Amino acid sequence: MTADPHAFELRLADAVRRDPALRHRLAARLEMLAPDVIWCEQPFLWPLVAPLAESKAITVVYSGHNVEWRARRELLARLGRTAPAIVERLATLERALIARADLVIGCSEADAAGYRAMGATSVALVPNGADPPVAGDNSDAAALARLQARLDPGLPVLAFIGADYLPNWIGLRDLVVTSMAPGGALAGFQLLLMGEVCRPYADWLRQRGGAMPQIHALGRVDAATRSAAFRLADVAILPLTTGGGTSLKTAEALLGMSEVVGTPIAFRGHKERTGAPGVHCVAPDAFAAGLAALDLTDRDAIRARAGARRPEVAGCSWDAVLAAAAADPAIGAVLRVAR
Amino acid sequence: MRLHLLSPVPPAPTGTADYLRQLVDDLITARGPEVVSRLVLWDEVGPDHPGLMTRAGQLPVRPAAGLNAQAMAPGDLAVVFLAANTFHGWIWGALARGLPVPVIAVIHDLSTYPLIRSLARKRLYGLGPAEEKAALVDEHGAGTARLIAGFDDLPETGRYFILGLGLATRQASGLIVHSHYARLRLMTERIAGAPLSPVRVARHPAPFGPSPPPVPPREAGAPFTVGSVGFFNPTKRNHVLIDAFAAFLRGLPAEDQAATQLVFVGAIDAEQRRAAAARAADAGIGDRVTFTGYVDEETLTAWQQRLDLQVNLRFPSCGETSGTLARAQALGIPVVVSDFAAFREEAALAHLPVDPPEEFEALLAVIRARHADWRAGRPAPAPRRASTAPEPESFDAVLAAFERDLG
Repeated sequence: MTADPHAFELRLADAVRRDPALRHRLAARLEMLAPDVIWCEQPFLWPLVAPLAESKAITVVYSGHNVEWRARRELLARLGRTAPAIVERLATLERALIARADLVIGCSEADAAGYRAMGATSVALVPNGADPPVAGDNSDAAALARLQARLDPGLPVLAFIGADYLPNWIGLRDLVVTSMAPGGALAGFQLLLMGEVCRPYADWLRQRGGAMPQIHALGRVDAATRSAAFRLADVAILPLTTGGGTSLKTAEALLGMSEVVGTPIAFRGHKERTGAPGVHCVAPDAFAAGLAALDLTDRDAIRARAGARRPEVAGCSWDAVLAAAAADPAIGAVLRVAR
Repeated sequence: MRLHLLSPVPPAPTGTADYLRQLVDDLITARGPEVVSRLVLWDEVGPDHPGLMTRAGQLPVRPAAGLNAQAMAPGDLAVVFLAANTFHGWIWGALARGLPVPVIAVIHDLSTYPLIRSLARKRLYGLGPAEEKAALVDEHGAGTARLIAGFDDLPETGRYFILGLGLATRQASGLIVHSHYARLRLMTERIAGAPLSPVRVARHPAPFGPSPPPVPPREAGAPFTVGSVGFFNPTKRNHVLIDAFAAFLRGLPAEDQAATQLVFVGAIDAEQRRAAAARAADAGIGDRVTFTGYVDEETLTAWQQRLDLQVNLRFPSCGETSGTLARAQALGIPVVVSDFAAFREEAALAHLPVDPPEEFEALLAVIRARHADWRAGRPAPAPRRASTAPEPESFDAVLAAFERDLG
């Protein structure tokens, strides 16, 4: 199991524990910080701080982004694999954190229910938020000009941003990229690809051979380039086929100026917004065909639909999400401890 | 024609001994008290054994040391009761030597090779390398030697799925199991040897005879009690039960936590008890967990009648039948079982997945739901079977069918 790449995160805590220097540095840092609250954004490193949390005086929060063991199992299944030892160890680890946590925060109803099923007793729901992806001023003008020079003005533009996280790449590959090959349903589209998801795309392209000139892999981008890309995009795509939690990308896309096309998984936590103007929820097996069938000829109409949905998606902004979270009594209690 | 019953008898601390007593009572109910004059009981007992107490009075038990060709007459039938613990070692030995009359084998545990291997390597009960091989060869053919050599290197799950029933299947004119699952495995996991004798499925004898003891009224303030009953061993998933019960308790207010208990009723060795108690203490529920150790049958019934939920999980070994499960069913205790192997055919409140992460969550959900019903004074939902396989016939009917076949 230890050699399995899907056990990577599970090895992190082991690696620190087996390295005396790292272990001592961590212990010294924790002693210096003397935390009142340990806030875990994932369960993988919990074994390293669990001894510190033996004291009930320390408040522990697990602010999860997925029910990790279920997400890992789904991902493995998507890859045609089972690795029950990894999944079981991950479940045990996550359950141990939940057993100690004074508060568990889920970012979707499904995740909150999943944490309760694992034994969580105090669960708050805080969905992921986003900032509008397109700058309100012309700070992206230079980037805009640069990108415009690369694009064919006659072809519709898709945009996708994501980390080098397998569910991001698998969904993008299977639902979009392969359909952009000559003869595919999306052969007449361009794609602005941003973030480290460009890395698995590059590997795939190298293995496959050939070129896909209408895919512009921009890699990690600064705020101006990201803003420019979303300003130019006719459609922000969310081709997710696995994963839990709620997607930051979805909130960002909803607050943007493009059409939004995503799978039901991508709209988890945003179901009520799938009927908003310019928002399209499409099943994975119909994704490319659904995209191809959209009328994207009138860019002003696209912008108008994005503007029209603004009141319905305003709750996705970090400002709105954090205001609601701060009003949650359970979170408020933790924040008071932290002060 | 006499029926020779070769089985551990009470007070041997194995489920087969209880089974035999219940079975004899069932036969008396079905065939009348005169049946006892046809029954000859054998076990590895001393001459001062008090005999088996039955509904028709005390039935003597003959010492197995006296079991020889002269002890049985033409026209007699031997019924051997086989499981995978050492109380059955002498019966495996008798099978290996051969019995002079037709044999019906009652299989209580499908996975018997580990016991045969252990006995054969210690040269106990006349078993040795030839018998170890004979246990496997019909099931594994030319691969037998390789399996014997590599058995200890197999993962635990793999070891539990090796049958090793050759000593029984070669000798028996008929086989009795307690689930369609077991029947299918016996019939299909063979690649060599003579055709298998008929295999019939019988239901577990009624643990309390035709009428189970009345349910005593609950004591006022009796706690919500969840229990695991029987020999404590890792295949019963008791570590999952401890974790799930701890998670359940964490969700209760302190005053409600005090009105709960988790009890393990039955024999437990010192090392396993230490480990289980430490696990419970680490989970913060050490004061809510009781280990009774081995109890007599009356005490066992009293404990079971206090249970609001009996947890009967099994993986990877799922025996062939469970006496404690049959008792819970007869007593009307809500019971949860694994959705696996023979237990899929059992009626239960819920059948839980055996995939460990799912198992924990499903068990926690069942405990929470049962507690909600308990608090509200609601009865548990009716038990149901997870399998559509037909309900088995009574042991008496199955035995009668074999008696007819054998003329």
